[in-house]
Amino acid sequence: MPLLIIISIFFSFLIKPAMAVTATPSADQTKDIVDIIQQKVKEKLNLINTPSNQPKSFFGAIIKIDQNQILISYQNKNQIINVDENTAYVDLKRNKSKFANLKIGQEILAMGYLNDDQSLNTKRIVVTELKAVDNPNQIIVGQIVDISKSSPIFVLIPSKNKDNQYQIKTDSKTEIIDIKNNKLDSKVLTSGKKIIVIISPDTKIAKTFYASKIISLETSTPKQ
Amino acid sequence: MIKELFLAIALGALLGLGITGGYMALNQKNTKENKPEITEPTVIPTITGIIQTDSNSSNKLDITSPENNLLVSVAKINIIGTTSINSQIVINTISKTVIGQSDDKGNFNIPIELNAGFNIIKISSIDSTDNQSDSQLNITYSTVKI
Repeated sequence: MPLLIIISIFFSFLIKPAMAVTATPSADQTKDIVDIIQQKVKEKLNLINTPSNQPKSFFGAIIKIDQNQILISYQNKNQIINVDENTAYVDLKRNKSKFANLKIGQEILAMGYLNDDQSLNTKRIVVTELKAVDNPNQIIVGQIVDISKSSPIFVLIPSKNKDNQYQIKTDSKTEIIDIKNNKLDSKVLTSGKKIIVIISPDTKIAKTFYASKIISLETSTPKQ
Repeated sequence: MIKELFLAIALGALLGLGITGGYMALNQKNTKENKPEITEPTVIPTITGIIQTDSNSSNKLDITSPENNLLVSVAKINIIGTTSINSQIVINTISKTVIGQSDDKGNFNIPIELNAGFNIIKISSIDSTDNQSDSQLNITYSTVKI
């Protein structure tokens, strides 16, 4: 009898730790699980939010014309344009046109939907000249190193290539602002000033750029 | 008889406690050893802009929306992306320049207005040490149903 009681007590103590093994996950483990679930949900949402059926458009010069396919190129990237009897064509004068009127070298804007092979299932082709849509502007950050006293021209050394320099012209239309969008006077343009400038090649003076907008990177007093 | 019984219970309890304590101590040690060590992932800086014009720049610029070559039917869109924290963001189309700033996490969301037709959008990020990173988006705005 005493032996039986001793054995019972002994086993009753052994059972408890065995149950403790199945304890709930710690706070760290729970956080890891939540993180993994969040990551998976995010991945799924990204897949849903990146629909392949969004319409796409490609601009480029025609480099090859086949029976139902056109190859265009823009900025060294080629794009296959598939056409069929439902594809609409518009010429430069915005008149209705046809496939037979397309020529190699012509610049077009093709609109449609991407196929699995990344070719465009084209619904509409509009003949468009690059010169009408090109954006010749450059965004440059740098430091003014010299300002002309006789003309509204200054020299800028870009931060990303200090061996280079830009001769930049301004006029009354040049907008000068600070980073908070406050308008500034042209007097704030001084040698040593750090600016961001939007420039395009000047059509009248060689090797000179025209500044359409200047953003001062230093704190200045706004123009009254 | 009763004395012997209590003695047996006491001895049994002591023995049981001793074994249980030892078992639990061993179990705890094993749990600690088997628990995987979670380390913070190493962030490798990458330059993932759609069209990266300056791959040597330490500033990165990644445009997450809209997709390049997208055809949209509304003139107002938002340029959304990530770059270095508190960077100046300059967005330029053929007719307009818009400026903004990335937040303290490097995110930005800047509205712009498109011109009708094909738009070449130039985007630059300039960080606090004047490192510049550039991207370009080609977006077409057309209300014609295709």
